[in-house]
Amino acid sequence: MLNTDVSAGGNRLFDSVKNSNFSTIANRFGVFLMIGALLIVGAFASPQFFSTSNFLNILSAVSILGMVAAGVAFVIYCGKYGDMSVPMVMAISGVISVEFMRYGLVPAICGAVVTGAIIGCINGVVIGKLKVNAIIWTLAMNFILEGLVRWSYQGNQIYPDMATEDTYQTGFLLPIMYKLDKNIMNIDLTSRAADFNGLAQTYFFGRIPLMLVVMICVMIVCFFIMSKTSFGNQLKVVGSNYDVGNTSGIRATSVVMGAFMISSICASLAGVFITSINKVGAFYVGQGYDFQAVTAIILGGMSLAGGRGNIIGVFGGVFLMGLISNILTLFGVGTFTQKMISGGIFIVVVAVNARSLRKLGRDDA
Amino acid sequence: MADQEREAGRVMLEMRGVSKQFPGTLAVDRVDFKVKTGEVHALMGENGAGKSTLMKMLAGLFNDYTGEIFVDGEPVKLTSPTLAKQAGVAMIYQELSIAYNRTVQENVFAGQMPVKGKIVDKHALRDMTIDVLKQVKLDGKIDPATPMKNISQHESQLIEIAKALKDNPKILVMDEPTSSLSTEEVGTMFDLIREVKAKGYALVYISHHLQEVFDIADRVTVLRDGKLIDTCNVKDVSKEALVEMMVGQKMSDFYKRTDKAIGDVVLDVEGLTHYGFVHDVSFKLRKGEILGLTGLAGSGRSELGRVIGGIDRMNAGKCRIDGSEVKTKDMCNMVKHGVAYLTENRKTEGLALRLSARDNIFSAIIPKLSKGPVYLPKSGDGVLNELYEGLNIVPRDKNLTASNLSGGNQQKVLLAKWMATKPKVLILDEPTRGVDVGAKKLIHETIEKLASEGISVLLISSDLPEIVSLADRIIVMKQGHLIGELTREDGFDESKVLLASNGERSVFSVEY
Amino acid sequence: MLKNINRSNLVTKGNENRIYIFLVIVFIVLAIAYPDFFSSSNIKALTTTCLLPILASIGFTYVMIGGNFDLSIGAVINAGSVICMGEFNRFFTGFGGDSGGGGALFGAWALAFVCAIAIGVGIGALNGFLVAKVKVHSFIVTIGMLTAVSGFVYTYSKGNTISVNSYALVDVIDKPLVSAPYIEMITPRFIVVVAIVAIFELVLLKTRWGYDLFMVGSNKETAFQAGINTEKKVFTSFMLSGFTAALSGALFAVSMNAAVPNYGERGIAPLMMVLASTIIGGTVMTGGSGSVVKTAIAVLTIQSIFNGLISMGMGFDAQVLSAGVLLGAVVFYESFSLYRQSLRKGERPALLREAEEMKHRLPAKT
Repeated sequence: MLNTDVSAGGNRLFDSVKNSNFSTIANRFGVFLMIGALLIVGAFASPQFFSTSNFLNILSAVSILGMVAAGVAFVIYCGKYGDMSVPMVMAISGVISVEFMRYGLVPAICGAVVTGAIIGCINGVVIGKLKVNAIIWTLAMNFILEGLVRWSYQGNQIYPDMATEDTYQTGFLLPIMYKLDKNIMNIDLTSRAADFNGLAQTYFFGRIPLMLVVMICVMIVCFFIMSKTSFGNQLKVVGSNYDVGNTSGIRATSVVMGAFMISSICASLAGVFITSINKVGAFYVGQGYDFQAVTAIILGGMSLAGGRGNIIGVFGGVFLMGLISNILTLFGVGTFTQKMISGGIFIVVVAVNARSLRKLGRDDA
Repeated sequence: MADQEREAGRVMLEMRGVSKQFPGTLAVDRVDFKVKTGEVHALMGENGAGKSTLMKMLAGLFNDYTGEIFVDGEPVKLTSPTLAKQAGVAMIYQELSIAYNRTVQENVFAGQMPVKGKIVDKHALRDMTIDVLKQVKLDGKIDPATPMKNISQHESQLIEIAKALKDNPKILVMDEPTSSLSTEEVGTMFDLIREVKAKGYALVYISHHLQEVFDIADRVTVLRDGKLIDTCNVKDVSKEALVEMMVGQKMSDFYKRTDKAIGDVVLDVEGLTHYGFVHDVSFKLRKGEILGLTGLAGSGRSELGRVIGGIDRMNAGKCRIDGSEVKTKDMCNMVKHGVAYLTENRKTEGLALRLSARDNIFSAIIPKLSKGPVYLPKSGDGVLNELYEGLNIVPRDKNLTASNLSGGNQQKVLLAKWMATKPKVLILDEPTRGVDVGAKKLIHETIEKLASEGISVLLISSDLPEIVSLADRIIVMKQGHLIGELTREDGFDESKVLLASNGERSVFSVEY
Repeated sequence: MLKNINRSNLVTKGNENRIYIFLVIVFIVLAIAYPDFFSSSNIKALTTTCLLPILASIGFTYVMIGGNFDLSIGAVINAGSVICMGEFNRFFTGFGGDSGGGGALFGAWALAFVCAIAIGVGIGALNGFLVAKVKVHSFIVTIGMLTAVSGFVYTYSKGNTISVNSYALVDVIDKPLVSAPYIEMITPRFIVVVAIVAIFELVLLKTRWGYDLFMVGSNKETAFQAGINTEKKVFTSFMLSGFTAALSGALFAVSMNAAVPNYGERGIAPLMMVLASTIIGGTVMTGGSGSVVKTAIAVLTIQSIFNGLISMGMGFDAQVLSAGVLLGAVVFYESFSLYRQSLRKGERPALLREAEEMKHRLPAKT
């Protein structure tokens, strides 16, 4: 028999562990409970709900959001609340990819990704080193980029398949590219543009869109980076407490920089696809994705305080948002009302998250 | 009325048999404490003697103390900060609470702006502030409309005192008010304190500085292990007697010391300077040696550790490990070279409290546990189990969130985190602060064991028994300078170390 | 040492009043580059464009002084404008339309404004409750609110422009009091905005309430110890932010005679304008310092730059870029100086002096 004292102490300890785990579990798997509930609701909404094509619809509708959210998740994981430069990173990458598609699809995507990486790098250095409020800085960055894109194209949208006399005089990098290589004018723009616009219309097995596959791949890669690499685990320490990271021999600035770079790279990939869907590059293509990504991530159980959550949850959050929108549409609710509802859901989820955080905070004290 | 109240020699504060129980310890054990008007009453004792608990009790931070407290003969219950304030107790903490981007006058009269109708009366505010500043002799020196961020630390401290005096308190409690001041500034502060005393306030002065106590205090109360040792007139005691009261008759061989071989120089620091914090410090640390580093609060002892650990910048000087110079700029680099710095701030810098114990212990060796970019925490399980066994961390569940561990076990996890890096030089900054007796003993044994295994330890500590029993050699810092060294050959005990950290140069074996 | 303090005092003063210096420089440059800048008509145009962002930024400045952010104001502006217009139409029809005469007109406008302001204050109150009581970070609360409110605005307006057929009110509020050069910009709308700026500035700088708000934003702990109700201050600041944003939206809609649900989504978003001018106007991002008038001056400065850019034949694009760069530069500067400050926290001046004296004796930096 155990000594009474010890068992009593043990029980108390066990209870406290159990309690804290309960809220963690509710946090982590809450999104899947919600998905389950919505699936039941969906079954009542329409007989077509449980069809493969409907689920493919749901998923492809959120594949852009999924790419963005997977990246922004790193920023939230490192305790920085959000990356407001996402919309313009998407836009600028879209524009760059349209410019680079003259050399083919691969350079187009590479150009976009490199652009994203550079922007992320700047964000990361400023935020990591100077400890600027991340939201304010990324907002400022967003404005600067918006100005750059709009200024370089003088507010015009750019169409991949359209080239007029002055196409090579204005643009982001086009004038430079033109100066370096005059042959650029002779490239068969129509077929290249068709290739580029085809990106969003590529299907595997005739029904699985390429975008969806890319989104899943991005999610898998991000999951791997966040949970299985040394970078991801250093990010976890830094996100959970920056000072601890800094005094544990972790290069905290570089780690924060990495998080912002991943966020921007993912956003730039999303930017390429959304430009391909719209068949037009413009400064407004990414509008709203910053907020939506944060919503999906928080719904997915990632803690705003950093260091908690994972990409599986984020995927759940993204899927949940698609599901909500799908079901509301099936019920005949308009897009505007959907926006209102998703904003409301966001506020409720965040408030609950904050309450449970405060509970955990009390444990810390 | 006020004059009558302030008449010198009346007992203003009386604590009768007050006790405060913490889980595991009786921090204050039936202490009687009396402060009269017109006196400076010093409260002394080693770390953990119960000074700060007694002070917090006065500030109204505990609602479960036992015993009776009388202010001006009236029984009072100091169970909340507001009640303490109402009773007439004013506190001046070491860390000032200042709104830096507001002006002096706004800080002094926060929440109590004088109004004329609905409008804040700026002239009255200014005049009132000048009146208040007069009490600390800052009128004329400081414009009340200066932003607080442009005020020096010294003057901020004086303003804080003025702010406390403004409410016309009966008792003024000061906690180490001089720890960040220079010698001249201390002089000004003392003039001020004497003046305040002459006005008939009752002052409680908490300090580690022996000299200061002799300079300023009228009476002194010494606490040890939560118990009252004695209250006596400062005039009637010598420094040595006071030290003995504080230190007591300790068993000198509380920790078993084994004779051991001390090897070659591992860490060689030369002319290390961090502007404004540490100035021109040179010392050598040998293999297997435990080098004690002590000094009063604000002497720069922690800052020195932080610079060597690679957290803070080194503006000038050299740092050699095993004879080759290393750049201290980057902590990651220092960890690679085998230097580990264990911080004194366990909760804010040491452990990520929301992560598991496992994550915390691995946090400094993530690159070591990785193959390429892939992190393999499983490969660290062996080390982890070993550390858990060696340090007896309970409970054994390694996935337990760090915040759910007791203070002692948190400290062990922190030590384990740095032991896992397999350091050559281990810098321990207050390794046993706020831990229970059992954990303390175990940590001390571990430090001994590590040294005998050939790790060089720089032990930064203000805990006298700890440093005396563990260190092979003690170096002492004062106001950013290294002032001397005590060697085991010449012998040192707690009173000698205490005198040394107070700048008593005669006790040093080697003077710098 | 004393010299140092004097210098840093001067630097502080200069930095606090940088927006005035900046405005003067911008005016001088524009006066040289663009002679028509100081023409009466241009000044009128410039002033009119400033009114919406100035009014909206008042509450935003309050919130920021209290140490928080209100990113929902863009949506609240739109809510204020569509509700004002929509409710006017409803009430006006309810009161019998044109047949109701002046009474119907007045009543409908009054009720419409009440509705618009009530929505704004309500949204602000909800924000304030979540921030002050539930303790959610203000960014997150107001981002969510932004989405929800703009969804509501679109739902309310069904995505369309809402216009009104009565020109009675706009004729009143945008009619110059005196039609003389250089004072023709003084319209009732202008007076309302100036009056509100003055009232809010006076409350901030002259009343106990304002001083307490500063203290809350500067150091919550000190404020709490001084017996200030910090939660209530934060809550009220959010309510006021909702109030000014909704009112600015309503007044703007009246002057346009129409409300769009997405005002500013394609041009310079009001949020960006307000955020940029508040920060450039010297309100400290972490709270505790700032002024409504300085924010208003910053709006004027930025709008002057825009005005100049337009006169040089550049469009919205250059405006967005210049505002972004300006905001980025100010944010960077502020953070950099804070970073420098944090490095020096806790140092001993005496040692620093000693180090200065010994500098030549020290070995070169490693």
